[in-house]
Amino acid sequence: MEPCVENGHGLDAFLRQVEDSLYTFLLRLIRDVEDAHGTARETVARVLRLERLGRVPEDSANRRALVFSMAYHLAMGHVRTRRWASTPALQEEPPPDRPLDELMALRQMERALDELPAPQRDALLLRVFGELRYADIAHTLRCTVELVRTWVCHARRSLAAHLQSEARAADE
Amino acid sequence: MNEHDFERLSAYLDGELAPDDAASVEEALAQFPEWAKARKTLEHTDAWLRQSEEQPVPSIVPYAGTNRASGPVAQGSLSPSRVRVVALLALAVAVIGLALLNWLESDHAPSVPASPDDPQLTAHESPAVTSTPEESPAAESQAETEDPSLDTPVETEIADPVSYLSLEGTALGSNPCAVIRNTSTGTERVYRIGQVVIEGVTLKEVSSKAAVLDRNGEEILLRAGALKLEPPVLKSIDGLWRMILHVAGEEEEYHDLLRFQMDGTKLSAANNKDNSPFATGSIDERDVMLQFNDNGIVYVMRGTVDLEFDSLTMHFVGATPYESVDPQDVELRLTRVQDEDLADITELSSLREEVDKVREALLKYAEEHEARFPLNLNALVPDYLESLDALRTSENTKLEYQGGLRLARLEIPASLRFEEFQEGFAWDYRLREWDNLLMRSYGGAEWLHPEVVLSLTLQKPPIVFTLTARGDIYERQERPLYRGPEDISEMAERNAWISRDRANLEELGVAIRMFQNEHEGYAPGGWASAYPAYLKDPGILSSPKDDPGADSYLYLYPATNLDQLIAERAKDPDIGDTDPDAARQLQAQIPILLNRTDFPGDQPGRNVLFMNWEVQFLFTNSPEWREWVAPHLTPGR
Repeated sequence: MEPCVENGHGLDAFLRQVEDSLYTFLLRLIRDVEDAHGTARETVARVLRLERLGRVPEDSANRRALVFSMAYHLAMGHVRTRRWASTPALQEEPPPDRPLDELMALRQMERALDELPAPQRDALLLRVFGELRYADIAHTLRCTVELVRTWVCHARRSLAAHLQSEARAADE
Repeated sequence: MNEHDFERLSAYLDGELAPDDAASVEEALAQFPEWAKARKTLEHTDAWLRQSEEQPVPSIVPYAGTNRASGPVAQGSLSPSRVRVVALLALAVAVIGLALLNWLESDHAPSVPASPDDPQLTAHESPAVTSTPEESPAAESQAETEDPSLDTPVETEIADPVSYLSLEGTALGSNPCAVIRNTSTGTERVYRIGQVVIEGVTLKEVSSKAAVLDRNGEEILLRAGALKLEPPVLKSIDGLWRMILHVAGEEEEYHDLLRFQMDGTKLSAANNKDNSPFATGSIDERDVMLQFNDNGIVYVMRGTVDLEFDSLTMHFVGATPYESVDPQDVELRLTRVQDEDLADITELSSLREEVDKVREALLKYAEEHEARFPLNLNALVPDYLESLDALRTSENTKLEYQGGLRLARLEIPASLRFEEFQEGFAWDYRLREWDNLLMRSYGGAEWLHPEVVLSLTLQKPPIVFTLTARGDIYERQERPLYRGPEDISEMAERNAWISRDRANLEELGVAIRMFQNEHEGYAPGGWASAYPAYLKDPGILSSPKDDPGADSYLYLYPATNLDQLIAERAKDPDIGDTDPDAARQLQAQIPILLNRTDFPGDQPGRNVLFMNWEVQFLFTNSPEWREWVAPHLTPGR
């Protein structure tokens, strides 16, 4: 158990600590820089509101679970709304001023993530970026812990296979 | 390592194994190299995912620290789309407001509110400056709502222009802007990035729910505090719902009625017809989870009811045991059934049965009539069907029938021998085999373009039953394949002509082949020599687009040995034996029969029967036409 965080300023520090992971997690789900950023900010705003009501857990693991679970639901709502509004799901233009190899690696990862079934992808992203426990992921995705365990494993293996095949293709 | 081992290893890396199990994994890692290798692979995968962690710009937590006073933590939240709608409305209001303001400004000098602590502003104090932010109603209300524990020093709060500026909305896109209201003057304006909001303060950045102001390099966050999302009024999901199960991959839809029953957060759904349980699940405010068992596999679906509790769309999220189904492919759409619609909807199931009966009758008729469907539906009564009344009596239904089509009219693959064709012609199942063969060859049903024999349209609920020439029934909300002539149309009429014309060419092709088979490979010299032994119905010599009795088709190689023709073209007398693939390729490019005139329309084209006995509709300006057909047409033909 991590030491208790005293007040809102501790929460600020915590949020600053997780903001990069949170943003990347949302970007992987939403695929739009602006919307991911907006959703991340909305998540933070909601957490701060809960903090004022005294409903934010004090230990880091539970805080992470709260933040990422909330972010996940907001992102899913957003993706759903966007799908019905027929807005293109993928960001058309790559963000500028990034090296080409970095962009290619990013595209490669997006492709690999696209190939995963959504529950597997979501479980893995919650695990890797949110560092959530399986029980928290199960709660977020509304499934059993066993299913989360299977999904995370399947996702890792699929991504590993994808990486290997890309590496082989690059060698050839 | 088996699947279970991988799962254990993955869980071990996540610290999710019980101590005993973790110890055994550690033992295996130390003992077996493949375990160590697998661990490395999985760790590498996680690292690879993390490596691309992106830096959000600007920070997601901008209102912590010194800028906290710039505004209260959001009182409510909005989905981005809703914010945009509100922003657009606000923009419209702002434009009208601006026009009024401009008119007023011609007589009244603008009173620019200013920040008292700003050295630049205090030097040019206007009367408005005497009205300090604390005095403004907005500032008072803000002071009331703010939590003191989150505040930063008071002096910066007093100085902050946010205390009398409020963000009414934002619009993103290529030219982002913000609608900012000055609460001390009551004015509202649209600002673009870089524009001066008040003296010394410019708009720096706009996001979906906030604007960042720049005051001499200091960032001040202006949040859309004025916009609040009212909490939804939760209703009950109990009652009758119409269900459409849509499986995208198979292009299938299934309509039925479900009755939901809520017990606290528990939810059960039963089939309305026989009250048999369909699914169980739970509801949390508006979020619904359902699971149903299909042959031992439990499918889980999740969705959110709309605010009115009238529609619900659910998506597949998983299955136990795991089954690889693309979640996007399975969709369950539910809409609440109003009492007045109930009668129409219950009509559905009885109609479904009637359509099935008509289908059976049509297929049986076609089997007994050389794969032809009857010209008129009445021909089915009474030998094949007792009555058609059930389809015709309702005002809610509209029946359309396209007579004379052939069952499973398919292009016969070139590889199929003629004897096989003749033998299989009468049997529907053989046609279906060819269908499957074509599906395998061309990778999809779209290529086959099944024609619509019968369509039954229901006004309420809006559903169309469609029976295709392949004997399949589709049940959808819109007409998928066929537009009737009354829908407009030349286009539909032209398509109908083209497909009937195609049938004529196919039959003429069969006649030529039969003749050729019994005349040492020679095609008939003219249609008179094929009639009546091979050509039973001379009516097919006239295209549906031409007058009855017209000689519609150009016959390019009468009294010709077609095998020899191929050999001559290939300059290889034995090509059929030595290189059958090349021979087939050549056959697919030599036309035998085609329309004399174009089908009318924006893009003129003609049906062409090639020597591989396939009919293709080619536009006369297409490269295929120029390459394959045009060289065979002598001038004046």
